[in-house]
Amino acid sequence: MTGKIILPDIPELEFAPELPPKGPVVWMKDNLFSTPRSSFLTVVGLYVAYVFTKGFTGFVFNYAERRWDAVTDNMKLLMVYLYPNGTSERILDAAGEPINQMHRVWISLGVVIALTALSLVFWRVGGKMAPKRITRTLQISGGFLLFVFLGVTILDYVFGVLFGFDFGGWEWQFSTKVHFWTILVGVVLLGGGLLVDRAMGDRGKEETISVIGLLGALAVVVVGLLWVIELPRLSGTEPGAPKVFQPIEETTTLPWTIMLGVAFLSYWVGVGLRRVIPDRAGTRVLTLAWLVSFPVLVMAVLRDPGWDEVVAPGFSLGNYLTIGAAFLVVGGLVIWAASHPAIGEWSAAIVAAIGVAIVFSWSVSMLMFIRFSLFAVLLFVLGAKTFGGATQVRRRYLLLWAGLMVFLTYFFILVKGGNTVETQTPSPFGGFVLTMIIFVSVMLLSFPFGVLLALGRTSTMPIFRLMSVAYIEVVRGVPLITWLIMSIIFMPFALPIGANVPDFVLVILFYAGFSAAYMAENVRGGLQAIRAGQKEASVALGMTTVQTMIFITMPQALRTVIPALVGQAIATFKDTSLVAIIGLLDFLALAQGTVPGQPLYRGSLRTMLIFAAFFYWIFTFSMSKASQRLEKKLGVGER
Amino acid sequence: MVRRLFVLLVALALVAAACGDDSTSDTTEPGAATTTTAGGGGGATATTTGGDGGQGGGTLAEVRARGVLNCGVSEGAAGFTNIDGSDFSGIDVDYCRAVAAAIFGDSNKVEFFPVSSQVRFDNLKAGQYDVLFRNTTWTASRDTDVGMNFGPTTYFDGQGVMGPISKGFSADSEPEDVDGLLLCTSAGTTSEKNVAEWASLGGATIRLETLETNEDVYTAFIDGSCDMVTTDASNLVGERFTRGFLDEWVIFPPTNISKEPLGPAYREGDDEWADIIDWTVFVTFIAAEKGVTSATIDAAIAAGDDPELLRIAGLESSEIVADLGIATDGFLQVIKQIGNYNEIYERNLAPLGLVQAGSLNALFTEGGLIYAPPFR
Repeated sequence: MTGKIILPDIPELEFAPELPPKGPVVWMKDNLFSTPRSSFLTVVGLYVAYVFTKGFTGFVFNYAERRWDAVTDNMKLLMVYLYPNGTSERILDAAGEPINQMHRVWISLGVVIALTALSLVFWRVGGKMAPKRITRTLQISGGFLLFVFLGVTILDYVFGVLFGFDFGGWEWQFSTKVHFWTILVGVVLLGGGLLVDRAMGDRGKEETISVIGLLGALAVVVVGLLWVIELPRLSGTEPGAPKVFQPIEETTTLPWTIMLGVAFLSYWVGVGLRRVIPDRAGTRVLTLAWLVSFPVLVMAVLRDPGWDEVVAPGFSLGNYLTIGAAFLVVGGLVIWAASHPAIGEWSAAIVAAIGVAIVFSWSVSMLMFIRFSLFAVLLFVLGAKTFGGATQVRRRYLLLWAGLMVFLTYFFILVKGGNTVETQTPSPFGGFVLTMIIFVSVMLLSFPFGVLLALGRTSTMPIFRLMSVAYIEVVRGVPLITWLIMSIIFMPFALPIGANVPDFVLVILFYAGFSAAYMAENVRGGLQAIRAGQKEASVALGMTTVQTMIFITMPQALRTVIPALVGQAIATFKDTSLVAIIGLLDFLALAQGTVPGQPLYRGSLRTMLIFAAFFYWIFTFSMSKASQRLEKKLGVGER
Repeated sequence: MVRRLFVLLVALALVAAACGDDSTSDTTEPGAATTTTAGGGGGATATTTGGDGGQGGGTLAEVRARGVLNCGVSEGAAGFTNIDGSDFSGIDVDYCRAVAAAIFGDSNKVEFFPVSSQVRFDNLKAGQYDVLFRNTTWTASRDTDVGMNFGPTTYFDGQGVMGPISKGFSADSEPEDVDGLLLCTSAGTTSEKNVAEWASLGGATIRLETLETNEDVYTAFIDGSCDMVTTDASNLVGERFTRGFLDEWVIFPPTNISKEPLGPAYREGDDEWADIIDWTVFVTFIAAEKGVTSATIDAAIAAGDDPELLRIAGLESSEIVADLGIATDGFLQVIKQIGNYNEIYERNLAPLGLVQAGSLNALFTEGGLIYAPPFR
């Protein structure tokens, strides 16, 4: 019985049955008016679309009280809040000149853009796209314009003039000129799209256009437009002054042009590098770069710490360097010993000793740096068994420790060194920068914490399970806003005297703790989806519990819950706006409170809210798209 | 065994080294503790019951040690706190700077905490900032609330009603003129209750409609679906001006419906701190009364014919200023760097169309309520 199984030949179908060409009328009959019920739904849907579109586009483009100048004039405030840009008479240098530190913002943005471009290369994002998708987008936008400017006008005429209905909504008062040009653009887009589609035929379905190239071209067009278009600005400083059209200032156009150059340059550098560096190494370095870049950009570039006593009272650079070096060497020796294959029961003694030291360090007044470094030693000693063994592996483990310690020292020096960016506020961050800082920090902190909680909750050890369950249930049971208020109002009483922790840091810590509880439940869902066979197989292979968790269970569990995690990331991003209630001026707080509160921009609230909604949407939509890509790449939902 | 001992020793040595370093670093600034304002230990009790320890000058010492005044302001209120891309401005902001000028001689030594109206008092009590200038109405319940005190009023606001002249309203319209008409206001203010009281006292009934935001109210008012709007008079005046209806809308009744005195608030129980805030405000009033501005104060002192001015400047009976715990030229710096009350008003509120002359916010010599006790 060793013969092959012979499959019968299945003749392939050579010609697909030809379908008659479908015109728009047939399509509408099939899809919109197939039954009386669907006809009814179509009419109702069209009516709702009509009323909504009329009101919304009417407000955005034509309503008398729209104030798009409030958005453009306050863009700097919305993005970076009061970051010194050389216009304040109160923030002066030694020579009495206004200080301008906007280059720090642009450098940070440049680093993010460069890393993004490199990531696009090394993760091989992009690929080809069919022209048909582009022509379809053109057709849809043309159709939308025609619907809004032609369809709504006709419906208005039919309902209003012939039947005498008035559906309310905003004043619909576009001039004939605006109507003419917009309808023309709509016709060109729709007709052009259709014509190109027709001309290309089946070639339109071949994927021939590079997505990255298309994005690059779009970026060039947008940045080019910055130099060309003129925006309406108030001509005077008193409210109600007439508006005049002015070109966009060079402080905006020039940096964005440089940013565009940075993007292109880094992309091409990345393409060159990919020839010499394997993808795997490249993506690892990039991941590390992303992780390190965030604290460095926030703490070093944007905050510009000063090392002297004036800026950071009680800070001594020498002390931190000494302690860092001591931990690097002594801690390294301990870890080296703990990862020795013959260590056996001794490692428990080491862990106990460090545990005592940690308890001691928190019960007396001590530098946070030492407390955290002790934790790091403990973590590495605990992991020593997993990563220990051969000398080569141990050496690499030690290298990792050295890297972490250098970073930890650097980070604490940055945190403890005072902020020298003067903004007349306790922290120099506000606006979109603050939104981003809170979001990224919360995600970075809550992820490992949430994973630990999930492991605790699924653990067989009752003490860990109980603690995790208690934490998750208590934290989840209280509204986020309550935690945030508590972080500001109660934490000052709970902190040790003299611990001058900035508000936004407290908020981040509380928010991360809150987010971790939800993260834990998401991850637990993934853990429970892993079949027991996986674990049993890895145990059979001789893996320890920790190794099974790190190399077998966790990667599969996390892959399963990507949609849930992205959903949580999006929710976290939007919920950062809750910090407005406790007096941190994030993007939304500035858009809905501060800008409409300026005498010049009173009455701009609706405009600002539309802008804020659109701005948040750009980011959440990108996140959603990125996660879809990731899911497809990892094959979530297909296995 | 040797190895185990070695490890233990290493751990202990690390801890010992840490202890040695620590006293110079994290805990060097007991004065900078944000909570223990009123001396003594246990932070929480010290702030809420601070009365007994307060005389020692908890807040002032703390502010001095910190080197900067922490001041709670609004996150955006036209004329009071205005935040644009580069700077803070407004009457509340100017008074924060005035206090900084009095304490440090430098009006720039202030950090602003823009705070929402929901948490402004709690954050003050928690010690997030030292004084709150946030268009806050002084009311009995707020004053008697544990841990809060109010300083001299810097702006007298009050509720008014505004209607278009075209509908027959005039500046001395009375409740009978509004009988049966539709009045709009925004949600979440005390405006509704006040105006209903006012109308029923005058024997009239009005229909009230509460809309979500200020913006909604004016949208409905402009398109005529509301006959009148009501809210703080400063808001009415400002909206009438910025929306360009100066000649078409009229505000009534002649005396406001309610009283909204806006001024500083600070933690209870620190009398020294309260005196500094109060007298910084009063000094701006006195300077206005004497017609001394930031530009003319040097000349006025050089002339030397006004003993009260010399006392304010700390040149005569300098112990008055010194007893407050600030430098003897502290108040001189307030006038020099910030100016007198009229200057502050002109700079921040006049551009909004809030006319000072003839309002409650004129000096008492001109029929208003701005009045300060004598400086002697």
